[in-house]
Amino acid sequence: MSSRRRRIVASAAALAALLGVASSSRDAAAAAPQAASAVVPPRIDPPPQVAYPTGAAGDAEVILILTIDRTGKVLSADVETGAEPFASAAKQAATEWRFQPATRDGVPLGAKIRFAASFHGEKTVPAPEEPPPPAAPVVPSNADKHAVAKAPPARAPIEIDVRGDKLPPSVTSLSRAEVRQLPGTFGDPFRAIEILPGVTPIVSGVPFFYVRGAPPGNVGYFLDGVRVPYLFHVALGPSIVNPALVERVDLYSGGYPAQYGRYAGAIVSAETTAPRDDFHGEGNLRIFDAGAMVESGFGDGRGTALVGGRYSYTGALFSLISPTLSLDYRDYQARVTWNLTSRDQIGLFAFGAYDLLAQQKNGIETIVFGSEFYRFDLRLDHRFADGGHLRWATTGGFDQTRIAGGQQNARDIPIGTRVEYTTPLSEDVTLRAGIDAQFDTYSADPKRWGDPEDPDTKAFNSLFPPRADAALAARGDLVIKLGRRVELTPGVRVDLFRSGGASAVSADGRLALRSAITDKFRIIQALGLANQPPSFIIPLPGVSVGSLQGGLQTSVQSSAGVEMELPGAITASASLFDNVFINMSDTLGVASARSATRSEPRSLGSAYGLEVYIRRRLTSRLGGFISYTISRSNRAEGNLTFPSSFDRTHVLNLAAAFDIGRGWRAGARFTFYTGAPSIASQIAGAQTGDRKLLTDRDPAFYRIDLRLEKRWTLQKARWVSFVAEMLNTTLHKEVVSGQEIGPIAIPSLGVEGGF
Amino acid sequence: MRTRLLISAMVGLAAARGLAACLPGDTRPQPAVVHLTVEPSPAIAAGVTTTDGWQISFGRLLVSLGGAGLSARGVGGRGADDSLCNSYAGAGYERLFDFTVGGRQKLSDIYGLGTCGVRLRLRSPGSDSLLGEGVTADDLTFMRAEGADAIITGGRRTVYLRGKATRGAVTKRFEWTFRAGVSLHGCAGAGDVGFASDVVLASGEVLSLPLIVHGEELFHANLADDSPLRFDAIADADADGDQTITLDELAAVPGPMPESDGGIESSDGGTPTLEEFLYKGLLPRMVRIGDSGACVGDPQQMMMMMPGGG
Repeated sequence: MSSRRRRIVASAAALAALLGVASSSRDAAAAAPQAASAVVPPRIDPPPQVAYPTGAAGDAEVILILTIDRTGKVLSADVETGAEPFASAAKQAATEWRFQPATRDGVPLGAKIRFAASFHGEKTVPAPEEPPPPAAPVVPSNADKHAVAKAPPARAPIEIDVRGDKLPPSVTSLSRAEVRQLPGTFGDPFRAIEILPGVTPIVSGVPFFYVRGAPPGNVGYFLDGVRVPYLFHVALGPSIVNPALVERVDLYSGGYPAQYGRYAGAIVSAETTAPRDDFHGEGNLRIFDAGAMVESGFGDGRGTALVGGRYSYTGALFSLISPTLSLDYRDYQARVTWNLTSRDQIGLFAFGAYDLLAQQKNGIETIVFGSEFYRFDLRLDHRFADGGHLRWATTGGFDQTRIAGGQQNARDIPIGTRVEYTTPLSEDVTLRAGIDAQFDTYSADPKRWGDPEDPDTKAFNSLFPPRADAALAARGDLVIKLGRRVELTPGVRVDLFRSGGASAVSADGRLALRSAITDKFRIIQALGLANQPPSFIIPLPGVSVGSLQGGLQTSVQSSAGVEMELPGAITASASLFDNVFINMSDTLGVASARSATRSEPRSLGSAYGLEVYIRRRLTSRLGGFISYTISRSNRAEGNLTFPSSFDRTHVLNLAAAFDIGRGWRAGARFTFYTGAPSIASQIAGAQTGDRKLLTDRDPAFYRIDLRLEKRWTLQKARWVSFVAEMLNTTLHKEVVSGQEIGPIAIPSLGVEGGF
Repeated sequence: MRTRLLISAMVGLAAARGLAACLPGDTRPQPAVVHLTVEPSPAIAAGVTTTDGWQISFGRLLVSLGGAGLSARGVGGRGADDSLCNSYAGAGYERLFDFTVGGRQKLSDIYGLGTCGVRLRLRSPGSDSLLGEGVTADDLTFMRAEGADAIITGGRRTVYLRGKATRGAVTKRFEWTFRAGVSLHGCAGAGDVGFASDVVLASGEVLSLPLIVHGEELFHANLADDSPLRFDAIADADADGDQTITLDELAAVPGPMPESDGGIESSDGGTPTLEEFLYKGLLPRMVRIGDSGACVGDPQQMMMMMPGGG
């Protein structure tokens, strides 16, 4: 919501060094850059956008070696010097920059340059009115044979004003590099969400969460702006996207940017890595599955193509444990991009996942859990000279889930289109706007066998009728800088919903404020109104409550907190939040899941609490974090107010990762949370009302996860790792509603590699 | 370049394998259907005379019955090894019957294959429960009204019985509400041979299973199938002398001797009261399959009693 433009001064020491000749004189180039025989080095205009690293503090300088092709595209970016996380941020951003290519006598050339980027926390350094001439490149005799000239160390860098988007105030972000070091997540960025403050697990190891009191059905998942029905294979398994493709996962706990709507709880948004045209890839081989991803450029650097996937071979393993059970899961990803011009790119991103858990009995197979979805997203991107960006995308797909009780499939064919537009209106104001339309066609197989009078069947058909749904939205927000230290982001979105003949309109307002009291101390505030159609107990592909039964769910989300940068590259934040949920369909929160497919109880809800998050990046030699939430989540029905079924007063996550040396890295994580209200004891109580006022809770739970990695770095940036990891090494059992379950413990042994 | 193509092709093929998957439809073979019916015992319509001379007649007998399904054969019940049984579809709903009205009625249809045991439950009706012959919406509301008794401190009615017992010039009335749920399975076969609730289901077969509700079961002296019907002990419990015996009054008098109470445990650890004997011992024996013996009755799982569950 409140993208904060943080000015970073990047001194582009285009200490040039074009191909072939090892030395040149910047002064000479500066003196006669346009001479007939002169070489014009690569230039970049408008200034590139760089994200100031999340959680980073202070100033830093990174020297990059950029290889730029004849179209101006950055083929590779290597860090020469620079500390983390700035080095990774600069390197990642540089791969997306588009230069005006170097030329000799007007003929474009490939080039390699040294590029110095200086990050300055809150300081603003004015851009030079006219960029000074870059260092002189040297023209290669053979453009395909790049060689880096030794840049004179004493050269003065050329200053380029680089602007970066800092993440909105309401978001907590995890990079994949960091998640790889987090025990208990198996390198899975989505699974790592559970360690963030405000996130309350339902059951240990099960990756469905309450976020600031909002149930799993009110949490929306997005991948590159594309709605994803679910994130994890067979609910418990790895995520449905190859982790190597995920650059970052953001959790918006409330008051999120106007671009996110139709979810009243929280947003989990993942960004894929930027396309790269150097041949690279990653793969892993584990006990349960194997996955790989490769990407390469084509068309002389104008295009990139990526394929990836994961395949489980759990069938053989399961047959040893339980001959009657079979488990199969797989996913795929494919992405192709093509630069139409230096500012226009067309791309296709397709991905999907398939899960099947079946039981064989007496030669008859019954599907216990079956789910699949497929997506394609066709995008056209245009970057404006002023730094603006326009994306027009069309998304389609197919979702399907097996309804186990009736062994019938419910499906959805979604198709939608969206336009996203970002443009700077002035030096201090940026507009982000968009419209989108989403259409869903739901249907379900009839139940082949069952009592025709069964009210359950009738209720199911009523709750999930075959129908066509539509949702239209228009939204926009402004990122306004008020002086050097204050950034305000007001936003609004309007949604029109139509389902099975019923219609509803919602208008959501959002407001975020970031006030930098000092360079290292900020106050963050966020306020948001969000609406959502009726939701199912957990998100499932092709299963959605129809006809807007019961009306829209509404939440009012507010939070206020502080963010501090402490010595030792430690970042600390504390936030108070207070959410109100109106007319929410939280079946889990008010009762059991027994009647989930029959009825949709509505309730009033509230959640308030304090979140504390202190961390030092796990990619540091010694990194770790403390994530703690104290909260109360209530529900109200009639005159009764009672704790939500998964209200947990304290949730604590501690983790540490340490680089032992010689390629060894070890990590440990401790997770603790207090017990949820015990439904069993509530029922054993008497009156319906009384049960909800009882205060008995299940016992608290804790677990310890461990991770050990040995990494070998080979030539040409190739690497191989051996990773041993286990979730719940202490094999602790959890008590849910008076019943002991588990222990849910997940071991993983695997080999990973990349090039 | 060749290596690059090879690696890309391998990963691409693996990704294509993901694309090739698609959830199958319902491929199971056609099951058998078990058609469950329910009817009152002759004693409910005609009345019954106890061995101690009381003529008992039934004015109203509302019973909420349902939750039919297939599970392990024998006394296994839910959760037992059901490897020989493929259950396709149970019928989780309840019907509310008035057994003083009407005859044989449908309870539900359940589907499956193999060797299975039929299970049922006595449970308070949900808002969407179906109504049997002669049962009105007011009856449903009445049964769903929450209350308390000595066994269940909060819950809706499962069984409601109203009637009278006459001996000579003395008439005693009784009006009892039972709120506990009972899961029934492992019904003994006729002559105590085998299990009447066991069924062998072949594809395409239609099997009828008639259930009979015996209201008079509540007046047995003990839990033996051949135990006599009696009313004296109940009549003597009329502490306030208003000629109407309530469960509260039965809770104040001891039940049958320990050797004949079937091992019923009292809530306070002492001798079971007459109310507890009726509640825990006799009530589960009301529902039988045909002329078979009693079923095993387990207290309904707490989760199934959850308010708000329909």
